[in-house]
Amino acid sequence: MSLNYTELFKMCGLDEAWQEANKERLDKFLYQIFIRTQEDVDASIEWTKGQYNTDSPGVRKLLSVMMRECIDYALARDEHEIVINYARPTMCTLSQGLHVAERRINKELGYNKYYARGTSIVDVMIIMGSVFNKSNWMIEIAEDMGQTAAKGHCSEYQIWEGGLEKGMIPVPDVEIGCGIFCDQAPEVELMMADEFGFDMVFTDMPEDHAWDSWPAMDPEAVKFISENTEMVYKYLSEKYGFTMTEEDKTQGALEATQLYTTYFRIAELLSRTDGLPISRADLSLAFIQFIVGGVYVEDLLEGFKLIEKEIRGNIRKGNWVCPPGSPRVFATMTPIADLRFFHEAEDVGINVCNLWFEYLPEAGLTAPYSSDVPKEQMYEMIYRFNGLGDLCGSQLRLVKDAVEKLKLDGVMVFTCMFCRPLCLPANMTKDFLGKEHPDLPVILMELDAYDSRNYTPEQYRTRLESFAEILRMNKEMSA
Amino acid sequence: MLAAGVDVGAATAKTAIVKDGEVIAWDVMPTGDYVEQAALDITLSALNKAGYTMDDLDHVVSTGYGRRAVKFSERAISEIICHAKGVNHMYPEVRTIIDIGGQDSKVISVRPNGTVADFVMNDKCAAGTGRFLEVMAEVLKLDISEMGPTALSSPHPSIINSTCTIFAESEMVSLRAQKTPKEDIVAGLHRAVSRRVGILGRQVGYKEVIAFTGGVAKNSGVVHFLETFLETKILVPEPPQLMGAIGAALLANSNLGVTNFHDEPEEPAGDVGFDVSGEI
Repeated sequence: MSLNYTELFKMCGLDEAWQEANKERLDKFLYQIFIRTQEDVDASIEWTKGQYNTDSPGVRKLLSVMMRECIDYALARDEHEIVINYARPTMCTLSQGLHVAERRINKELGYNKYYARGTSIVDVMIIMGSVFNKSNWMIEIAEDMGQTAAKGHCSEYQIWEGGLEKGMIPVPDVEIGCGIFCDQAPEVELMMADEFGFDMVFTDMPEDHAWDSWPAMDPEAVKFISENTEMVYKYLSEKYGFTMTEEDKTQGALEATQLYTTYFRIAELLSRTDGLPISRADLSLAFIQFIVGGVYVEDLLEGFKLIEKEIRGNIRKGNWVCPPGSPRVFATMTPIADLRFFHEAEDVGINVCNLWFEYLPEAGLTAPYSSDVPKEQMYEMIYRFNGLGDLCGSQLRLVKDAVEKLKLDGVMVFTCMFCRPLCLPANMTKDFLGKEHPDLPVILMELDAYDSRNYTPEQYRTRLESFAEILRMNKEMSA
Repeated sequence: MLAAGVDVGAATAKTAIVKDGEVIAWDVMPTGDYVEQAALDITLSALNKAGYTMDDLDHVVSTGYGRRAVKFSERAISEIICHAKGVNHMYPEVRTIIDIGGQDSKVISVRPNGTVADFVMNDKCAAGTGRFLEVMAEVLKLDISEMGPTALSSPHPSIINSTCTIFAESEMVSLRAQKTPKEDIVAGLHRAVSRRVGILGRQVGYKEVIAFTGGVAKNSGVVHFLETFLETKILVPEPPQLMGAIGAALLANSNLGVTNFHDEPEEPAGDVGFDVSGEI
């Protein structure tokens, strides 16, 4: 059946010429992800419009990158000889070198031998969730297979598992497992490697440093990740012929730095602005991409710049999502596959002016490195981000610092039930802030980044409305 | 100024008529299937009791889960805020409110000026709500009004799982099979509800005076077991289920809540999200 998907992909920044040139791929992609009727396409259009401002050039540019990454991943087995995945949620300081190497090697060979990306899972989750509204379905497939959240597998892995099971995404040749964010993740990956029959290699990262050590990270841990990553690169070279050069790694680090600095400029602008000039839902596209990077890095950077331009233009013209004077809050997490939460928050006038990884106190940037080796210094910087160093200890300090330095009106602490790194510090953060800033409104809310089945807009609307009123009254009382 | 506060909950709709800051009439009825009709009917009934008509009203404010469905209301304010306001107006010494409704429960920390300092709510699970007691009453073939007095007559309340309505029902069936006296089972159920909500409220912290509102506050058994759990006397406003409606009416002149809900579709929005084009 021939589907009319022109509007859908145009909305995602892929013009008709690109669609025409990639028609066969698009037809295959949609079929593979079970978008098989015109109703599916039309529903996706409406769903996407409800998630993002699809008239925004910046949003379209970023969606175009994610959509291409998602299509590339879905068709990776058909279009490449060897599929190398670098698991989630990768920091692009680690994976961007892979992307550079993929581009270079395939160009030298004259064909697409390698698919080597650290973006795959994340972009699948965003596109399948926020464009095609299929992430919950993929989670349920995984649950049917016995991979319930109650077994300790987060919804991210459930989406991956569901996608693999249904053939929506390909089984890789090798997966680079990573414990950067969750020590459980590599275990899940190993289990899936056994189930689906793929090779595994680990960028093992000890997540927990001693409490209170931040920003001084354990030099042994830093050295370990640096050496371990080299071992992984060596493994890829020896077994799969995928050889990253020092130039690839350097270029990767440079591109990652460009993404980080461009995004942090936007984050800094928002955190210092009175009023919210862009929906957090739209900005989430940039937020995710600065973390994971990708092969379309020039388009990513252009998308970031377009978003920044829109933000600055909106500030100048006084076009606000939340007007000046709206309560400004820090959020400890962000939804990723379903952004309606942000619209609800903005609807009631809550300006989420800073969130999660966006905030890095000065000490995180200026504290002396534990190593003289530039590469190890880069790895140490990864540890200094919120929640990635000594997990609970650093989050408490970072949130407190954000409240004080950014002069925030409140904090939204999210407890993500099926995520150990995110649910453990939640209550601690609230209690800590209650002691440090007794009059600061802090709300504890359940939310999942990908699984929206238990979190309806009606449920969190009551909480958000009430929290918004508490914030406003508090602001008035302390004025 | 004549204002109506309309609190449309999942189980009941309540309206309070407030004239110049004084409550002059109120009424309660089951919400049923048609939220806006229930809101209108109950408002007309309360107005009638007060000797007024809709045309006499200066303001209408709605609250509760169905607040945005009340199209004749000019402002919709969350029930957390309204409960705090209502209780504070009637009982300014209250610092913590426990509200157990038909299908949710909440604990609210209130400042002396009636503003909310913190809150926690359970609207995911029937355990710890009025629905829990309704289900159990049906199984035990008791009228809901008999549950409280029956609970109080027990010298030995049973220990019943407090975290899940379904499991609690299973336990109850087992206890009956063991010929446990009915009053002990009923007392155990009341203790379970009270514990569930009591533990929920610890996230907010309890400061006296503690008030207990919502329809379940009319249940003497839950009052007793809450007092036992909290180790203090609790205040039950009269009427306990009207505090949200009273608060809503009192907030008629405020700039709280939302006013732009009149064009929303009446049926749930479902998966069609929000058009933010033009907002930037």
